[in-house]
Amino acid sequence: MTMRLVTVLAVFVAVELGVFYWRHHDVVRLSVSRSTVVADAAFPEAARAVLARDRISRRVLERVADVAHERREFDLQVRALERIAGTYPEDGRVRLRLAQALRDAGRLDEAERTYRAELGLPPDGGVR
Amino acid sequence: MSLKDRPSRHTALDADSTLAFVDTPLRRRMRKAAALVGLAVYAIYLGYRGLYTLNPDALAFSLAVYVAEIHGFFSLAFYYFQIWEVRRRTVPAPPEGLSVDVYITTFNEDVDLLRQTVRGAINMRYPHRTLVLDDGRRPEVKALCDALGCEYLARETNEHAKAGNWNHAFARTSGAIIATFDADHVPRADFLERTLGFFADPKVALVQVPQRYHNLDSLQHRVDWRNRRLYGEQDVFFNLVMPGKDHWNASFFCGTGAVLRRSALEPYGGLVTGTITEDMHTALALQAEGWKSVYLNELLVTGLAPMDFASYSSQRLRWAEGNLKIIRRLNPLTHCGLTFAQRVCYFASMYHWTIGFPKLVFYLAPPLILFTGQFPIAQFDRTFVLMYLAHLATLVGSYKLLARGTGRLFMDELFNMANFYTLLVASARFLIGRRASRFVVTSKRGGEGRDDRAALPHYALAGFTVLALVWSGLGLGFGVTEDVVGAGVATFWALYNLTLMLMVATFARRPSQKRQAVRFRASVPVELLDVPANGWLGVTLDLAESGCTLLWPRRLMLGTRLRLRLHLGPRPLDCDGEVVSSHDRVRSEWVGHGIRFHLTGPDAVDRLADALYNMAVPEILTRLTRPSWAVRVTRAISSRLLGSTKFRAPRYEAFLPMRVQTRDGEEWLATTRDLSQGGLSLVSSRHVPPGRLVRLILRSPDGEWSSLATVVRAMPMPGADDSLRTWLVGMRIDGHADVVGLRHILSAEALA
Repeated sequence: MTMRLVTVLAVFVAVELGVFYWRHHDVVRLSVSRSTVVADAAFPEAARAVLARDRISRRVLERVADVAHERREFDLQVRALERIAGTYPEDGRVRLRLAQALRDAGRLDEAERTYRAELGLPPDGGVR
Repeated sequence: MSLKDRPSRHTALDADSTLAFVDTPLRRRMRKAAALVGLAVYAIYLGYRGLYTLNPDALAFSLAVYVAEIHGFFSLAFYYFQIWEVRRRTVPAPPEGLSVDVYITTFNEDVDLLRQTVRGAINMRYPHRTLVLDDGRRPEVKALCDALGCEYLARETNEHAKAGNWNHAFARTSGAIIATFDADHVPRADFLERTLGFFADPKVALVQVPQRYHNLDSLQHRVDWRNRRLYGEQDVFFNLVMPGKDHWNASFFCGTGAVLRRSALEPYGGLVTGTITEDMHTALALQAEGWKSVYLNELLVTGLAPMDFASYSSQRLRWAEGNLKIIRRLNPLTHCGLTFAQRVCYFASMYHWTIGFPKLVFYLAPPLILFTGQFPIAQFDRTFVLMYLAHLATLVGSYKLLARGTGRLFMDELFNMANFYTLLVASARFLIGRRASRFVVTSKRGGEGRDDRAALPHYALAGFTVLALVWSGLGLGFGVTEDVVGAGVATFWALYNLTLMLMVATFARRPSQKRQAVRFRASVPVELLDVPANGWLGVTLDLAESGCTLLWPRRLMLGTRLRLRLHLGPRPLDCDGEVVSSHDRVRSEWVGHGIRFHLTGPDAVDRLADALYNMAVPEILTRLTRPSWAVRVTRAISSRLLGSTKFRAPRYEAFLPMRVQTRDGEEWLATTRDLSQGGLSLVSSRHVPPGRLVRLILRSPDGEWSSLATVVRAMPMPGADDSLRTWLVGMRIDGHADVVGLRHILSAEALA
């Protein structure tokens, strides 16, 4: 009986692992080594799926932002950093990274606004 | 004719005058205050939960948990109401000349088992007539009755099961008072003497005594021999709830170990039928007519508790289903004639069986949280945590204070886990309204082998919880979620429940009855009659009708046939036995041997059984009543504060045989119970008056020890049969004796 119960549980755990992968394959793809993710052609697709989730950990969003930056896919990086900044508004470092990413993406006005907001400069004066 | 319609008669005794409080007035006030505080904080907590913490994102889940908590509040309120005042009874002398019938109901129980019950019933001292009501219509039971000299009654059908069997006898007998026992419940000789006195009050319809069990290795017992503590699942009911109900005149008939008045039952033709728990149904009907019930919390009868999980669950299902279905026939809330307190008490007894649903919610909640990430509580903030901790502290504190050392929260939770599915089934059957309920006789011997199918719901729940833990671990590991605090709380809760589930699984998987007969821990001196007499003595570690474990100073060869003399109190029993196993004791030279008896005829079995039920069982149940450490510490502190501390030398338990000699040449055997720095106590088959000087001799593998000792006290050991009376004798050892040497010989810790 014990063996039967353990076997049944093992089968259920195996099925559960399958279901987990099916539900969260995008997150799982982003969890392998950084170099593998950078080289993964399906990264943009996985990153968009992750960014479309209602709930996702900061760790995964940071991974998306970092990989997107390395792959020079700045729009994805901006979206990831915007999510993090929205969840952690007290984190100035993220907003500076966001401003940097906006500049890299060529969205200079938004980058300037973000820099100004973070540095406490008035919107219509100061550094140009 | 109801009691109220009867003409008033002169009352020889008012049974209410036999009620006494268990606690002092101060303690009663303290306990009531604790109960009120516990309930008030619980109510405030529920109010806060309802107003601020219901989660609109998971409303159904949130409401289910909230309703389960509300159920718990009412459960606690009913419990505290029932034990608001815990009472005991002073026992009036039994009136002379009552005509008493004793019914023993049986269906398929072993004849060997029935034999001791019938003998116990016949041996009750108050004049009576014993009848065995056999629904199994077995010739061997009739032969047993003929041999023992009691009456045998059987019927053609099994209509209404036990109640029908009972009523069949009721119609054919005429005793004014009827005592009733199940086939496994062996009464003590003084059972009737202790219970009949209450019937001097003409309003008393029934007297119930607690159901205690002598098979302490049953599923519902946990024994801590070292700390002399016994947990019985039904202890709270029989030691607290029933004495509490007795205060409200709402104690009820529990089916066995009870005495009933015929005239009260006549309108119903005996017990009320129509449910599978005729006992409570009958008591409810009688009390609605104005009859009184009495609960006498004394050890007067012991029986067998279910040995395996399947039998246990089947018994609980019958109780739960039967008690719930009484509401359909006789609703205590609306039925005329009951007092408010009786209504609450009876309804509480039925409500108790509905905890299956709330428990299921609490068991499913953590895995659901782990799977979905949704919490039933919206604001899991500091205010909530403080509110919850205050609620938990007052709940646990008030529960422990009101339990008076009886309740154990973890064990109660464990048995709630064991019962949850059974109670769910019972509730479902009650709600769906299954027409015919079947009376299933509880197996007294347990099943033939391991049968853990009854635990399949627990396995399923445990599996579900494990999957949830894995899912949550994967989610946190891969970063799908980052709610570490929420997952941590749910994981802790899930692991707690999982521990309970696995413990229930071990219940279900333990082998059912290994031996045919119940083994009792009994320390009885033993002599081997055909071994050269070197003064060696042995002692039993446990004893059963089929054999014993014998501690002997030397190794005995396996297969050796022995002639043993068991010193069962004042009546030694000579019998043959065979060594079937042996095992070394670790810290001393004594060797334990498994001995199988070859008893010649039923007389020898009966003599052994008499000793077991009259000496061993009362001693064991009395010995296992040590208060919990918390109670002991509280008492020590309070006695220190009150300046009433009595310092006693530490005592070490030890069970070894001794010879006792007097100056005038008398010699007999006794067994030690404990040893202190300057003395010892032993159980003696003879009464020795205080002040008498005796010589004690002990031979052990380590050598011989002998000393003069003075008797300082002699108290009768519990037990009703005077012919088997033994005495606990306290001795002060002569100052010149080698007490340290004795302690070494006793190897107290190893043998305790």
